[in-house]
Amino acid sequence: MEQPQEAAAEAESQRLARLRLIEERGVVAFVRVVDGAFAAGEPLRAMAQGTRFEAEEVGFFSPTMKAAETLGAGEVGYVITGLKDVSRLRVGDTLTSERNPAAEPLPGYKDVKPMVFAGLFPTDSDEYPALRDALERLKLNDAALFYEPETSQALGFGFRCGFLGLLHMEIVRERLEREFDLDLIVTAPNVAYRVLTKTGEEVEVHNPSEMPREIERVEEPYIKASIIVPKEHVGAVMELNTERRGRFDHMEYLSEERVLLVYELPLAEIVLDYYDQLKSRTRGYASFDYDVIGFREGKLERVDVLIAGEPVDALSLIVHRDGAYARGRLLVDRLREEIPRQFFDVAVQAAIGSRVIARETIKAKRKDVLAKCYGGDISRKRKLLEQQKKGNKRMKQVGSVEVPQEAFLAVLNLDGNNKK
Amino acid sequence: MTGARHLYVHLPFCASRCGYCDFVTVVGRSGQHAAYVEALLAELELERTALSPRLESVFLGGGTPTLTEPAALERLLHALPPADEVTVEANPETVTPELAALLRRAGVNRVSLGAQTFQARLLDVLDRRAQPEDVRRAVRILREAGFDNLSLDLIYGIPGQSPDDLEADLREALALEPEHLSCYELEAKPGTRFTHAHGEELARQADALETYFERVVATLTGAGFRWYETANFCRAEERDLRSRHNLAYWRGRDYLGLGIGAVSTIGGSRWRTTPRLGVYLAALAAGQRPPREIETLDAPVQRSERVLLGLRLDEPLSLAGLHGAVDAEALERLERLGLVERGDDELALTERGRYLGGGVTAELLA
Repeated sequence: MEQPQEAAAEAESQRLARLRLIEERGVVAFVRVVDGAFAAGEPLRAMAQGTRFEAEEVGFFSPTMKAAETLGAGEVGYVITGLKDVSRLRVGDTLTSERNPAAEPLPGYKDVKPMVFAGLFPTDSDEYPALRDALERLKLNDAALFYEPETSQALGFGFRCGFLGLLHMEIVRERLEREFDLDLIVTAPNVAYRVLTKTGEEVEVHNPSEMPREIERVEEPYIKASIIVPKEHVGAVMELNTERRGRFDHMEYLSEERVLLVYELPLAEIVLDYYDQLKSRTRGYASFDYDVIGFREGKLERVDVLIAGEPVDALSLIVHRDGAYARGRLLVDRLREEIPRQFFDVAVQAAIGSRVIARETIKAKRKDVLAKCYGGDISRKRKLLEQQKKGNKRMKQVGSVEVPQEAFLAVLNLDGNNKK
Repeated sequence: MTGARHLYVHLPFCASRCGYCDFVTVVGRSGQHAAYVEALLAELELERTALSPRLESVFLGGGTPTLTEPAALERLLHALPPADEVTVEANPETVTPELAALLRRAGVNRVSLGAQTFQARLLDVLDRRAQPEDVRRAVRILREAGFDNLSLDLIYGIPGQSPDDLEADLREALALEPEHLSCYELEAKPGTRFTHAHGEELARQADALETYFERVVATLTGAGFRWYETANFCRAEERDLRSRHNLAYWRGRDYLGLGIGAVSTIGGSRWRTTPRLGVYLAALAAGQRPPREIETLDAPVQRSERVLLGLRLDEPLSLAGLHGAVDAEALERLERLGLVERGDDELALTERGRYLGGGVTAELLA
């Protein structure tokens, strides 16, 4: 019924080169045999994951799948595992015989963990079940995709999704929109944080609104960025990286004209618009590649937004202390523009803990009347008011304040941020 | 059905078109005044059964009713059924002793003068032909002719109108001692020539304009006027000086409208007569009803309208029969905010609620 699809993850391959899911036969592993031999019916184990299964069938590609009795050292072929869940096998893992196991897995396997997180919400809340089904399907052949249900005050029901990186996020989003015909709101991405609370508990935080308020230490993922750029743009790249809390590692002249710059940067600084900035500041010449190099402690703060004194989960941010005031100010200014005036004064605040770092007041409306209303225009006036009422219904209630969805999007939406 | 007790007659002719105006008007065509009046009277005959034998009010609006050729106007006024209140709208520059005498003779007992503003440069912005002096002269002439119920229309929020200009307008209007004042905020509709010409200026003034409504109410109530409807004020005295005709609209009464573009609401049905003069004249010359757009008002719509119109008044709205029309949750919220007061099965807006009446009503509607 369904064409088998190849896994999107392209990690290093050892024995397990690829995974493929065929509906009626389960997960099919593409393998290269390094040592010994595999036979059909043999109990096997994936060494990193610990998954045990029996090889239902082994065989070669010639070029379609062709069953064989055994697969020997140096041969490339497939193993039908009978597993129904792709997440139980990972590309790059080492398969070994249960009867005569290898002592060590083959080197090079890395357990890929999502580093970049974003909320995915259907534009139309009725599409939530469709989004859930689509993610389930994608997950079948993309073991690296992580998702869990999320409820946002602002955007309703959706999912918090974890991605390996920015490209992965773009691909998932594109596939959801193209293959599943969904209309999505993608919130600004953030990274995973490792947090040590004051009570000594260690937690991983994927969503700023989950960030504990009492924090001992926060670590954030860092990357090593390799940027190749014509030499006249080196200054521009350095400036950008400095703005983004980058630490210069080294620089190499690849030729007389081209320079390789290596920087260490917090992943959080590149998830939003780094690539766009890099391209625009180098007239499109820069090329950029990165590897995650681990977690490092950072002076990070949780910035909360309060509308009329009510904290709005969906708008919380985790930012570096040095940028907290500027971001708080920006957020508050943006919200003041987007939230319509109400029947009462509305304070919009950005706060770190109980300390307010930016504040604006949306002044109460002083008049809102349809001046004239006589026999000739009662119908029109009625329709205007009905329209106004409908508009009100589309707004989200934050405490007693009506906030249009657009206000949240202006702050949250990836596209919205990119455009500005 | 007992028939409508309120009659509106539309006289569309104007000497020129004012930039901000969105009424059905016809410029020039003085040769057609008599024909138009004949058509009105023919239409009246066709609709006579919809009218109650005893009318409470007749209102001649426009256009510029007083620009209508005097013989035609006189014929019309004499042919209309009598009523307790007969109002004619007049532009100040059209008021002469002859006109005033004609109106008196024909049973008109209330005149509504379109003063708009007393600043020459602001009259110019509005494309008005009258000069400030014309308003004063018109009031004098009408008083001398014996009119004891005059209303002035004022417009505020005119591009370039400062708070001082507004105070001056109100002062000048009060000095003329009218019985009634209608004060409208200028509506600059998007896409109109007027907004194109003045939109930027209005945007620049936006913050100041916010306060004009409050200033108007404060000044007029301070001078002893009753703020009896969102945009209408009358001298508080023993005589009830509220406009009976307009009260009928706000109380949801039936009314019959005659003339091009006129609207009628009778027995749960509302219709607008064609705004096209030629089509109107031709139909009635042939003894036919002119084409009309009909809208049926079902019970929920009628209830909504009762709420949105009733809340414009300074008297509490009785909720009898209207419960389905009001959003209970919104009502509670607005009450907490001090915008609405709930009485014994009735509802009223507080003073602040009245300044925000549009938005408050929108929320209240179920």
